Amino acid sequence: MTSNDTNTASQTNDSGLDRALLVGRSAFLGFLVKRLGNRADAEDVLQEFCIRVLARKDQLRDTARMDAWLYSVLRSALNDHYRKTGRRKRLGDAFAIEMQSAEDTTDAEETMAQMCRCVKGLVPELRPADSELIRRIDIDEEDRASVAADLGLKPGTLAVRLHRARAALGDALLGHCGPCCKHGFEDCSCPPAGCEHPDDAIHCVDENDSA
Amino acid sequence: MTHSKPTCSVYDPADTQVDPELRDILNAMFCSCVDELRTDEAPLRRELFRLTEIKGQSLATAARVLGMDIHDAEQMLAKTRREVAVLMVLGLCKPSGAGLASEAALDDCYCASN
Repeated sequence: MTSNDTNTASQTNDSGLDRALLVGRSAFLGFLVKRLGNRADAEDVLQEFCIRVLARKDQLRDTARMDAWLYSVLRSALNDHYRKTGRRKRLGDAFAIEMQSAEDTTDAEETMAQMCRCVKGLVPELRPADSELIRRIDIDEEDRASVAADLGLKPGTLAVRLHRARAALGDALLGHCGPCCKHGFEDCSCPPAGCEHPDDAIHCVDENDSA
Repeated sequence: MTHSKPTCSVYDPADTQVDPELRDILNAMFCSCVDELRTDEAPLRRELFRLTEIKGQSLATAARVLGMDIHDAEQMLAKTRREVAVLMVLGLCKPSGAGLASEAALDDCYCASN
């Protein structure tokens, strides 16, 4: 700031000017609040505008109109603010999506792990015919038609036997884990961790612990 | 936006280069600031600033009206603009106790009618 500016600044002690400028500030802030939607952002932009005006005031020599110049400075402060808040929002959105994606992935892995631990342990304990159907069709995902042809069965017969095999596996899971699994096997993590169904309040227990 | 209240500016309202609402605010602040200039040549500077920035006259026209050399007018206007800008920014940076309701006080601006 030059000595002239300092002299000028000292004149703001004048109460009439102070009052007028306070009114102007209030109106200016109101103008920004209408565009930005909140006072905090408006205060930020107003402060940035003031800094830029002071930093660039020498440009006023070459400008056609002072109000147009001030408006362009304000627009640049507003645009930078929009860019900043837009970038912050995009980052926030991307982070939220990333977090959600990470949670989904973790959940899926855990669910599969819980499902597979019980089923894999129980399938070999079924009747050999049931065990083979479950393993080939539900676990290894072989084509039903080829399995039927391989076993010399009609497709309808295969479907009936597969249904019975699944029912037997369901019974085996219920017998192993208890009624806590009758609502689904997603929470079936026994043994060794154990599970607790909210409705039945039954704990899966480690076979070693219960013995 | 329509001009429902008096304004210091007599610029063409169709000129949308500056938001009309902001122009009203700026003009009122210009008036207040330029009135506070305290130099020997303050009356001439005020009049030059009023004719160019508030009345919207070209610098050449304003200089002719005031009987000034165009280059002197150019330098004087640049200096005045800078001081007005500093005064205005110092006012804008102060914490405001004035409410939005006092916006009506902008109507008091008399620069254009003098």
